[in-house]
Amino acid sequence: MGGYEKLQGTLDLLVLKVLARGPEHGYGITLRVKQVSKDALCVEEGSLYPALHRMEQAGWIKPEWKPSEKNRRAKYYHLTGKGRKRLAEEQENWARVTAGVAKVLRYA
Amino acid sequence: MGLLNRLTGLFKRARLERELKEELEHHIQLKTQENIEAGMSPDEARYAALQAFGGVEQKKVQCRDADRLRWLENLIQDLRFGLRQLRRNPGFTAVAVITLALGIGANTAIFSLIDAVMLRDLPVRRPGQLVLFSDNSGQGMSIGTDLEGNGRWTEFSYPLYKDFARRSPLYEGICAFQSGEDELAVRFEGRRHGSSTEVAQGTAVSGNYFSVLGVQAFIGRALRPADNEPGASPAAVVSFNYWQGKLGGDPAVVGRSLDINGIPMTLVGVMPRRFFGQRVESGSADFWLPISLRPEILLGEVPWAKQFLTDPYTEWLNLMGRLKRGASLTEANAEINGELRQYISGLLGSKITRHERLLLSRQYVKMVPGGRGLSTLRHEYFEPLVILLGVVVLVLLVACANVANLLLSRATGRQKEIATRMALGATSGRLIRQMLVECVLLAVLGGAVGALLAAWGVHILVSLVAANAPLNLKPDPALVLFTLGVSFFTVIVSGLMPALRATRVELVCAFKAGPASATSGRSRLARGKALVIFQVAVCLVLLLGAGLLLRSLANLESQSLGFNLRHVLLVNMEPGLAGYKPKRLPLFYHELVERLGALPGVRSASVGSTSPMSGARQFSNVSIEGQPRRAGEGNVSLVRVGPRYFETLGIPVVAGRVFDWQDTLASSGVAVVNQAFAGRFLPNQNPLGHRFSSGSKFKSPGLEIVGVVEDARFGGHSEKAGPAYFVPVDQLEADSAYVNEIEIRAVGNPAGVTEEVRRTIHGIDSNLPVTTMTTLSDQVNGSLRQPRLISELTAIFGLLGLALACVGLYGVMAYNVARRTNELGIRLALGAQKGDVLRMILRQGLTMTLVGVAVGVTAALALTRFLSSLLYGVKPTDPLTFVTVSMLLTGVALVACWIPARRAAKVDPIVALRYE
Repeated sequence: MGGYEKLQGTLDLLVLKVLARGPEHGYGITLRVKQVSKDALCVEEGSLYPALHRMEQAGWIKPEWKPSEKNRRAKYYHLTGKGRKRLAEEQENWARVTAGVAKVLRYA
Repeated sequence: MGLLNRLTGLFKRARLERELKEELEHHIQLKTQENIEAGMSPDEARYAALQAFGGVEQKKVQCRDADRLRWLENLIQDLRFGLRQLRRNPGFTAVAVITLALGIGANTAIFSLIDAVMLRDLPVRRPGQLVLFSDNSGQGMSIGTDLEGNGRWTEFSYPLYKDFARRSPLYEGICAFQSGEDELAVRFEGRRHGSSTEVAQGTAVSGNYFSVLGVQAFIGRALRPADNEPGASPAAVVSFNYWQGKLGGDPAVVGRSLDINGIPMTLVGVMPRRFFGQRVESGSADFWLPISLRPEILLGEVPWAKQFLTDPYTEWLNLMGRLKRGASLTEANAEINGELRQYISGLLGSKITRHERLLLSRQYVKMVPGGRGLSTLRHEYFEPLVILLGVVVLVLLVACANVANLLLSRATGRQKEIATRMALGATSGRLIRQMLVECVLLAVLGGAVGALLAAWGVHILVSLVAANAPLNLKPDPALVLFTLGVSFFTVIVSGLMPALRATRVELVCAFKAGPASATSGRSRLARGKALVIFQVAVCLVLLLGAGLLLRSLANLESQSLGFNLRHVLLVNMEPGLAGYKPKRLPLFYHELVERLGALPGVRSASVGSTSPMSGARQFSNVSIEGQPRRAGEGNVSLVRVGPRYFETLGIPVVAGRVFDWQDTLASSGVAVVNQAFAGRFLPNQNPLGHRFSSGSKFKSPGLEIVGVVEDARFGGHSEKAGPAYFVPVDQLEADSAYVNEIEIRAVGNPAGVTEEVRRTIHGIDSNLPVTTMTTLSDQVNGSLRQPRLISELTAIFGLLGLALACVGLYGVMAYNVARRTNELGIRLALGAQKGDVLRMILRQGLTMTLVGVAVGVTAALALTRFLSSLLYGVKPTDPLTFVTVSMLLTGVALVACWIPARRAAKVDPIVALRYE
């Protein structure tokens, strides 16, 4: 498990970013994060679902039941307009934080 | 979103639950698949998937919590669970509900009285627009405009009223009503009602009175401006209560004629049930009559009645106006005050002195919002009621502390349950809410029972405070809001702390140890102790207040009043209404006094304008012959009395003589003065033989002082007897020759002679209305009603607080003993004596109590001074009261500790060591 879940809000950012590509179910999100980060990041499975339900209530993502690749019913989430805005904010935040950290590492 | 969505969400509950399960299961299955592909066996793969996921049920709870849709469903769950919990512990529930009900009930009862007396609007149209021309609730009349006083105008003459009414553009209308009521002899012609004469209260109002207030008649019509025109046919309207009580509620009486003080009139309407006029207190009007009729109605009794409508110096009306929409009180104030000064300068004429100009600039009317009407109750009871509200709030705090203590003990008992639920994924927020919901249930139950208690209690209160006052006690939004507020307050105060405390559990600890585990038990006890100390302190403040008030009441009751109140009967009559002219009065009084005095069982009888403590007084200013004018001469009481007055009332004669039948208009004027009079005006000399007269200048020949009597109190209990003089009624002329009271001293209980007295009076003149009969001791007690009510209620609430605090103390001590059973067993096994253990536990209880007492005394020193206006002959920091009450409280607290202490001493070491 990576250490990033310790950074507040990172999970939301990762989930929103993955969903920006297109609808995905919970398991698919964990796979995608692992794959893209070359195993450096790992979404803690247990916290993923409460987070998804929370984001659904916040109106950032919307669920839809449809058949998966393996032809089984699965709950896919897709990004809403509000979610897109939120993603932009989160990304900006992240950029600021990492830039800050980078400066500290370099000059402090 | 929105409520509808949430509701449909509730019905989708089963589906959501299924979907949640399916969603998580889908994840686990895919993960299992992945593990199998990585080479695990199917069982291993599933186990690894579950482990990686980490507690499916926990995650489900977290998901559910994330779904806000479920709040309502959760609430229902919590309510069900709460109800189940309460049903499971009926003892706990009963104690908590009764405790809260007492606290909430006491608060609601006192508040509903405050609401009814202070806060309610009159039952009229848009009360917010009404303004009163003075907030003075006294009633009376003055003749001769006095510019020298404080400059505040409260009563107005009819010409001034007409002036205001004509020239005030800010008002929809201004109405006038007589300040107070007249006693009227009413005779109703009719088959069913016979034709006896009844005494009723009547008040004169302007023709637009009902239209300005916006009140319609219940039957028939209200008075209207045309009724007030000269030459209109005389009309009257009757109150609902009088109509129901005396006229049998017969609708056919409207339109009939009746006879008021000998003047035939038509009854044109019955007013609605809730309308009592503009005053909120006992003794409101039975009849409303047009102002234009008052001179005629009173002509027989009041010689100057004619000037009521014409004289600009006869001030007898109160005014009320309805502002136009958008007009403010400030504007209205400026306008009326401008007109008032203009009017007065009109009266003063063109040649105005500098002094008069100065006086003129000081004259004013204070306009106040009039929607709540006038009430002396408000003045008399405002402070006591506010203090009582403070008292019941303290009782409520004690009750809350008790419930908090109960909840705290129970929370400790439920630690394992709570730990289990947290381990299963319940968040502490959810648990706190769950516990608060239980608390809300308790408060709702307590509030409901309390409201019932209050509804019953407030009627008792009202019968004590103002038996016949037209108080509207129906619950209104303010009252409901108050009760809800108080209940909510109890939830927060009693529930929040235990809930927060209970959910801060160290899971591991909680599972390992029992409910009475050492660490949690100790901190639970510390909180319990703090609560008990708080209770003892609050309770001490309550009891100290009650003690001070009771001592002050005892002072009032035991003081010498200057007369003998036992065995005296007081009878009110109305010779003026029976048509007696002043010239016939001496003969009438003579016959009355002689025949009543000769009755068996009667020692003596007399007549007088008033009797001690009746509350009715006449003041006069006096000038002593040969003395310059001095300040304070206006405050001398004047009592008009018949012979044997002093003997009948038991007022001792100090020097000289009293009156007899020889003191008449034909003989020279005489007076009897009291010692206060002699001390003030004729100090260090023999007052007998000196002369004085009423008025600001001595007018020869004046009255010769022929006797001195002791100071009897004519005002209230807490008012020292001031200077007073007495004049023989037979030496008076015109209206001052009328006195309305007969005093009779019986040999034994005055109740035994009432029938005989009534028959004798009837025998002298069957037309003479006898209005009330009472005893002097009842009258004296009546003037103690308010202090007695306040001190007794405070004492009752204080005892209630004491009982609650004792329950709290007992609870904490019992818990403490139960928790220490083990330790006590060891002590006993090691040789401690039963007495040692008993003393140890008692000492603990005593320490708590003493700390509470110390806190309470400190608080009381700061608080009791708010009582000082209600105290008589005792200081707010009276040491005797403080010491006695503190000792009493400590004693009672020790008794409450005694039971747990004895239980502790009886602990069997063997049993105790096996405990836990």
